[in-house]
Amino acid sequence: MIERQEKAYKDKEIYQILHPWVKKWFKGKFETFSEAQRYAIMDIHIGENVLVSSPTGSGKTLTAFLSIISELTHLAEKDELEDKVYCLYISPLKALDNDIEKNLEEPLSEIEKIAGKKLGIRKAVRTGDTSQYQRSKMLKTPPHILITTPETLSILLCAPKFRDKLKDIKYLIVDEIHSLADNKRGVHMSLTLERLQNLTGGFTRIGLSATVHPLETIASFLVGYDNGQVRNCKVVDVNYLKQLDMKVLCPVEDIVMSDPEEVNTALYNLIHGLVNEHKTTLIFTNTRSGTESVVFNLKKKFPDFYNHENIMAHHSSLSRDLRLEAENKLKDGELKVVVSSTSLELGIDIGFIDLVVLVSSPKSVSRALQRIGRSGHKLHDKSKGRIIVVERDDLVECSLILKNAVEGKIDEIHIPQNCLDVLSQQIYGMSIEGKWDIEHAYNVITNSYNYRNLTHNDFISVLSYLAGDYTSLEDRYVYAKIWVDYKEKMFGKRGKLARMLYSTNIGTIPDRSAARVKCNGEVIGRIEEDFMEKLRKGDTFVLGGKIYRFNYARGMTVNVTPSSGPPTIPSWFSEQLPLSFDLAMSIQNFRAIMDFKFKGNKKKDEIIDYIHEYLYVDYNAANSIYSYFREQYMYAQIPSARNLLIEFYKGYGGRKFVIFHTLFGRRVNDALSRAVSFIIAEKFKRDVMISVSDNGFYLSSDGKVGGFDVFTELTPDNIEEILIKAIDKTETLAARFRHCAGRSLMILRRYKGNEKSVSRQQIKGKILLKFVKDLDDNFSILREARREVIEDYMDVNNAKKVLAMIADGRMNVNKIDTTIPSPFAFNLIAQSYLDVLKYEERIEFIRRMHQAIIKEIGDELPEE
Amino acid sequence: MTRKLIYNAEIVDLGLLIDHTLIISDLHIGYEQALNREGIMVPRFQYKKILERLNEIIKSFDIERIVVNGDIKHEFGRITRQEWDEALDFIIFLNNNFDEVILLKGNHDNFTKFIADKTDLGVYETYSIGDFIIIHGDKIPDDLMTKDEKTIIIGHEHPCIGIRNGERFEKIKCYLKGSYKAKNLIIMPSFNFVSEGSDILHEKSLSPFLKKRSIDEFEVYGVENFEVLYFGRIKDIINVKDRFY
Repeated sequence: MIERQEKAYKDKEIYQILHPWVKKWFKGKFETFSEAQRYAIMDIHIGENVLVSSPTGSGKTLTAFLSIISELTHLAEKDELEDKVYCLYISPLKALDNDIEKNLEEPLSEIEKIAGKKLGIRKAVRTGDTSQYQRSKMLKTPPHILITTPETLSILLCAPKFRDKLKDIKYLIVDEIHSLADNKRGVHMSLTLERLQNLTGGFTRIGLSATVHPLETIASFLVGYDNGQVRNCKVVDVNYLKQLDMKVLCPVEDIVMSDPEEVNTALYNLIHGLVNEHKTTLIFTNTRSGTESVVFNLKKKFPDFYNHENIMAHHSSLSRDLRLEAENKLKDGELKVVVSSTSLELGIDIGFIDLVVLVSSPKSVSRALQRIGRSGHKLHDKSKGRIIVVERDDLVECSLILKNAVEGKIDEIHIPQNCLDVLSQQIYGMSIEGKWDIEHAYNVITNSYNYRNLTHNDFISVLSYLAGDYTSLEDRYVYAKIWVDYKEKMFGKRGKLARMLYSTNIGTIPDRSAARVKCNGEVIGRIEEDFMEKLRKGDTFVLGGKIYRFNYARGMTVNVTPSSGPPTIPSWFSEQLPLSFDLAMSIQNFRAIMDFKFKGNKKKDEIIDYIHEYLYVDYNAANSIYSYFREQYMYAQIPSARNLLIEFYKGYGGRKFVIFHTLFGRRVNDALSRAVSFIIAEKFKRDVMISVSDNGFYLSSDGKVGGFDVFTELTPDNIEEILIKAIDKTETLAARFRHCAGRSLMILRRYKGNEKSVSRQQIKGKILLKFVKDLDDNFSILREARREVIEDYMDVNNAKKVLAMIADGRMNVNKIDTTIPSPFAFNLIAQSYLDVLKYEERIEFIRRMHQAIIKEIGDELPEE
Repeated sequence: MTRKLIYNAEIVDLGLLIDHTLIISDLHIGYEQALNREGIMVPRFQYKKILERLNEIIKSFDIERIVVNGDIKHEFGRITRQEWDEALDFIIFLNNNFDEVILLKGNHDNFTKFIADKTDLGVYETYSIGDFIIIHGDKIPDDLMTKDEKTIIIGHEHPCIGIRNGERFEKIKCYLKGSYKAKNLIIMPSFNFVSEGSDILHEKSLSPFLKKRSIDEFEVYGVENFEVLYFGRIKDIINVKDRFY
């Protein structure tokens, strides 16, 4: 059972269970226990599973480790410490691992001093960077506290000798568990933990998490299941203790009426003012290029103030050295400003920050809280955050983020389920551990939260894939990774290279390919492949703070020339964060309230007062929101949680646009729009231009689109099937399939000493996809790629929820005709990216393109 | 179906027909095993498809002689028993279905000689029919220009064109019609089903017949499952292509 821990223990009670030396050490260091410690330490002491959600600076590390250190001190005193691992600590980052080892140094050595003798409690970090020498040393004298990553742990489970040292694990700590739960790394880890559970017979699981919702789900993910019942876990939530000082700021008085240039100038003046009022400011943008451009512009606009000594960028495309330099300078208090995208969201120690600025919406409440929580390092400091909005939809969105954050309503986390690619990899790992009974393995796997609903059929299909059943019998020795004896119900590994292959190809993060950008023959940087794909001749984009024009691409090299003027390609779109569904729905609800107010003929002042109170925003912001909504109301209708508005508007040259005001976030809109355009393409045999954003999507075509009728054909029951067909020919599916083939070891990145380049994997991945489609349309890896596209990349489940709301009448679908796009539609058209979708057979595609090209060339087949 | 001719050689899907002689090129049997050695675990699937396609051609046309213009096998090092068997099986298939079998040497093909010896076939550098001279295309024989034949047919290049429209990207195998010095030149697509080949609109040419010179004026004949689509000159495709992006 998962339950909240409501009991906070007193100092005296906690001291009673601590070893006297540990107690003495703690008393000498701290006045009293932190809230998190009061709630959690007792439970850990008696061996209960605990999930602790608490802010930075609440002594999280000690919360988890204190009673464990005390336990080890007991054993050490009695000279009963054995040469084995007692406690495993797992974090998603190597940097965090190293931090933790340093943080443990102090208590361990000081307790030793108090004891007056050598206690010999050992700790060590083990990651992919650990040298062969250190590893063999670890085998001889194993650390009592082993600090590692999820991937390294699953390799250790296959290490024949070291595995023995893990047999008696008593405690397991997973740090930053929220950052693992929502992706395949977490799925992978959950199975690794069940493998460990199977080896050891059980241990106390301790999870440390930032603010996420629902914590009960994260707890289930941490502890897993036992025979269909979730294991016990206590949830400690002490987030409310940290005071939040959060505001939404408008750089100009009326953001609806101001032009972008004006907003931009005001934005940097505002940031500069805030920086001046604080000691150290951390600025978050949503993208790496955004990070670059904030640094660039601050330096340009205030050259006397900012220089490379006091402002730095920190994002994942920067080299490790540059990032480390920024982190160290930050810790030493040398930086006035650091600008980051997502890389500083996670909990590595970054020293004293007294203000966090978010430029534009962070797209979800939990992300906003996570970022703002990086300020106010000491527990009783306030977390101070300012969200600066850059246009009117941004204003509405950020205001709702503020409201939800203040009221503690956090978006629901999405945890991937039943991923067959990760399962393949883990079953391979299990087979290397030793022979397994098929049913026993199935039970171990379904103890993981992510696989608790895995069907027996899916499980067998993965076994069958690994056993090479899809190849001819005489070829099987090449393709089979395991042997399966269906009669005896057993399986095990095949081949002498198995352990080596497993440990060198493990993991779930696909290699992303980056293309080199060359200007005048010199490499000036890298851009991501998805981004390169979208570039067309003549497009201009920003790289490293400068503007370039795209000329052409050759393989994985992009040729550019320096350019000026505003970039035509907003470089953010490929890595843009999607708006969370829950936040989207709360914006929709706000829209419904506003609609109600206008319909009720409420006075202007009354409505503005209401906005001010309801959203906790200042009067400038309330005013802007009022006029934005009023324009929409007067000109058209306000789309909302009750009113799904479909706007028909005829553009230049009679081109028809059908705008769907579906404010559900881009992941849901991706699903809805692709389903709609697929049906249209099938029905009318016509190309549809489709454009998707967080706030809606639109279709456009030369002729009749029929968007309304088609949209109403979608139901919660048919959308999945339609989507599967719709994505079949897309590059998105091909790319995801390649990733899945890598995870399930159909493509071995490292094989017999070779490492493959991503671009080569890509070409070969396509060959593999073609083969797999021919072979069996239900091949497990192909099904997983489809699932990943529609459930993780898109959001078919929430799309079904939306369709259910329409079906049961909670949401009405209304039509409206306009001659110019309505105010809400305007941003939607301006911000979204375009794509032409055509769902046709390969031969039809080729014929059509052939005709189009020939028409352009104006050439006929030459007479012979 | 209208007949599509290049310099009077008829396009029959991925093969060229001259009188009663069928020319095919670059089969690359064993490509899957080469992929396997790189860690891409795709099982054998294309040999069956090659035979199916050849059978379709044999059924529809009156063919006496077949010329395989090089690269029957993908690799010659480290050959497994099954790879041998497949290649040998293929030669036997050819012997059973054609009156005469001509094997030309490719760059991947040191090995073909062993197989050919087993089956009493010769392996040649070039082969001539009428006004055509067939050669693999990885190198240019010194005496080529002194020969009388007007048209050179090569393989080796695996030409295809890549066409993108929105998110969709497809490669289409193609023939190229052009010239080499004073002679006509035909470049054949590969007769295999693993990959379409190298995109001549984007990628560098392989064959010395094409290297270091402009192929802008060459004409493109796309082929897809027996259908032939004339695409015009390369330079024109490159020019208009951007508009469809």
